[in-house]
Amino acid sequence: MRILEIGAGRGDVTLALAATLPKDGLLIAMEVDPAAAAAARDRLRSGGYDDRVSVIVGEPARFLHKVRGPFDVIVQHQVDLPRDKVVALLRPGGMLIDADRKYSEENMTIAEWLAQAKADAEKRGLPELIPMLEGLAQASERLRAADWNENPDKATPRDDDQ
Amino acid sequence: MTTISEVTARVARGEITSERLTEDCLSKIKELNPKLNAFITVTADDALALARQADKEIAAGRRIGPLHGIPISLKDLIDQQGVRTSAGSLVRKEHVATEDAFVTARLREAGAVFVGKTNLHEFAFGTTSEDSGFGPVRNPLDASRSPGGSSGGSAAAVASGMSLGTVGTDTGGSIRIPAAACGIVGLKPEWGRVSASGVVPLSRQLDHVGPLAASVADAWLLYNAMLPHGDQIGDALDATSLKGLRLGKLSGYFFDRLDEDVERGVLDTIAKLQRKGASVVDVSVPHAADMAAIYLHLVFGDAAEYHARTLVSRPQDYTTPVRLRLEMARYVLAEDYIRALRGKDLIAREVDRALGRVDALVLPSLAIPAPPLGAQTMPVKGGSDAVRTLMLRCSQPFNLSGHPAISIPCGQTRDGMPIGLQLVGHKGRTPALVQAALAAEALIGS
Repeated sequence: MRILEIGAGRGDVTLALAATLPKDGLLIAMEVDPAAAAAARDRLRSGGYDDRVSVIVGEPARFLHKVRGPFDVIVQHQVDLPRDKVVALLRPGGMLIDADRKYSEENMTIAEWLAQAKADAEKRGLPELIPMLEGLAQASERLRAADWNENPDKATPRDDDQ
Repeated sequence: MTTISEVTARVARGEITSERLTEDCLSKIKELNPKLNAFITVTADDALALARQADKEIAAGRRIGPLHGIPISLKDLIDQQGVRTSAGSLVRKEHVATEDAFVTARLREAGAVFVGKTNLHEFAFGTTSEDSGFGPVRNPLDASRSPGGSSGGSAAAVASGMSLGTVGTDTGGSIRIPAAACGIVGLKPEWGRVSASGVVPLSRQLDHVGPLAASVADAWLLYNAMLPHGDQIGDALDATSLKGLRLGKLSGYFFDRLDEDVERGVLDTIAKLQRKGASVVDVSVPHAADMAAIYLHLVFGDAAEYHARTLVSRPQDYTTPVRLRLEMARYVLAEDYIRALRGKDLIAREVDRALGRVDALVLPSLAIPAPPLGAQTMPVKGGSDAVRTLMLRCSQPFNLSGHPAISIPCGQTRDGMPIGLQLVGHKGRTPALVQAALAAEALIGS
């Protein structure tokens, strides 16, 4: 089992991943901040995982090509790497985990949705959509605020109220 | 403008032939279409053949009815067998219809002569008829302005005599907007009365097929012919009496953001109706301010569904503004679409309630006069606003609600552009709406 973690921070997730590794497994953790990387190394050592985990200090975008794949699992945190370069390091059928994608973690508000939609439009080479998406978001917000909406906090909907 | 009602009597008496009427329309097309770009396809030879056949039948005493031999046009969103249905888009530039749309078949049975397919806002997805794969349509009253849309070519064709009547479609106002902008009559039927089978959809739940014509009587004639056989009522209706006619003037939202001259024209007409015995009360649609958001989600969601495949396979064949709006439409979320569906039902109930104690609602058809081509915003009371938003403002409520609505000309702005008065009737009572419109039309013209 080979795991690559990009953006390990102080090793919170690294420790949990290390615990799942078999004896002959390998985990490579990359972290740009030297202090955080040092903290992660210390914690891994006290956990007794230093034989199968190595922590690389450096900017993931610059060190990625030095890492040899393939990996069974790649976990990335808040990093903006070209997806194809990351995927190229996976074995066929391997798994890429976007650990800190806000979309899945935070409340799905219109603001969140709009940020995602704008980023998507940008990525697709359609920056002209951005002001239009802002208009759509305003309209969606208006619908969500409308007093006709039902929700579980309200009285049970009845047909004859309509 | 020549009306069908006038000339059909002359055709019946043998004073004028269908061939002559058709030739007149075709020569107008030849003269004006290079400037106005109202037609995408002109079917001159087929039209003349149909006209000669009609003349033969009429001479032999086999006149079908008032549309027999009358030259009309079809918005190029509507199938006519053997003719391309472009929908105003290069995406469909090779699409030739293998059969008639329901309405085309009905009008063919009524003896109409089809002179051509009219230009429109690409896929009916816009209100100005500027963004068409076949170039912008121009307003016959002022070529620097839009004819309105999306049935812009249809309205321009009738207003300039290139056809005596036409068939358009209306998803948010696309019959009434260009009718108002070009100074003619446009009838959006009650939703579902006229089949949209064989018509390229924009949003099936909001799409309506209906006539644009030079007069209310002509609009009725065409509408009646488009109905399924069993639903037809008659070729002519009598005007209702204005005395005792109960009108509900829609207050608030509907008069909030109007061009100054449009407001004056509509209010003057309402006062005139009142002086002739109509009673006018203020009525409201409480959630009117939510309508634009409801409409946007439904039309965009529906359009995204229809266009998803060709947006990927042939994006270059769309005009840029329409392609971008369709791309934007793909971001509508399902939960917001469902909210909009619920909002649509609510608006329909509120319009019904507004009609509760009156025969018809009265309001402007179009908040602004025909905008200059290329205009992004237009000044109205209380500032300026986006052209598209302003143009849909007064018409889209009745696409959401499904009520029958008609636009008739009611005067002009100071620079000579027409103003449209909109009357909205009860569901199931379109004839009563048209009878009220006949009375209003007679009064305005007097």
